[in-house]
Amino acid sequence: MNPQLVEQLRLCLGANGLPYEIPVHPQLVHLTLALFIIAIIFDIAGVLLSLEKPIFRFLGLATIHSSLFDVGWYKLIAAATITFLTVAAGFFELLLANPPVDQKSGW
Amino acid sequence: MSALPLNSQNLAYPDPLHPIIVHFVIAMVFFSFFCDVIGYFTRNVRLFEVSFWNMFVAAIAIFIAIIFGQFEAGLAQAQKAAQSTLNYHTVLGWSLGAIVAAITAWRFVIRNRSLREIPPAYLRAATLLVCLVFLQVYLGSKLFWVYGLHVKPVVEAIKQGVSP
Repeated sequence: MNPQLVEQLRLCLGANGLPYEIPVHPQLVHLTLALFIIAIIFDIAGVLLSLEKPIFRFLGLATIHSSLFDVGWYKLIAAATITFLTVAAGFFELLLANPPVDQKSGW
Repeated sequence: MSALPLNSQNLAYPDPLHPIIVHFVIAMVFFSFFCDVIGYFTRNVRLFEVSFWNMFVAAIAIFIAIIFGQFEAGLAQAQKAAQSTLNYHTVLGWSLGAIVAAITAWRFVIRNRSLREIPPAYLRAATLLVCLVFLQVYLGSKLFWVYGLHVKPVVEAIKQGVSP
């Protein structure tokens, strides 16, 4: 907890120690995580396309290397952009957090 | 109650899996919509391809999310205050499963017919889907961050008979 910050921004903290009902960082992290992971998976899928051809043919999906790489690329850009907001929200909520100091986290 | 050995969070495994799998559904639906809208206005054909694959991943992930969600909801000792939120979340979750599947099928047909344009009707339907996903994320977050389902201290408190 950072009383200076609370005073400076004139925040009204709720029961969760935040000025709003639900923390924002865990919402934004959905985007960072999933976009990045699926981007990598699509890049790998693009490389291994010849192995996947039978599956895509079965599904009736016309696919080429470059389109799968496009998917990976655009998702990576989106993940890189949104992550700045995720980190910003994370830092803000970290400053308002009140973690117990007498316990050791499993992480 | 059940033969499953449950841990201090009332789960059969260390941490809830539903909140991890929903990452994929949420991000894919939002990014698919984002790509369709940007592609619609800039006429960037490559973005339509990105959008289709995003929806495709979302359609697979949502069913895994529903299965784990249903399992973990069943293991949760939801207190009275959380019950109605959990019910709404469950009903909307199953509905979204059907809606995402339908939207993906529609997107698949659009992709098969032409890669060049997207009908405005599809964008309207996708807007509605994005709104519903927002609502679902809000309800789900509330269950965890406000009502503390599968959160250790809350689970312990309820076991000791504290009931808000």
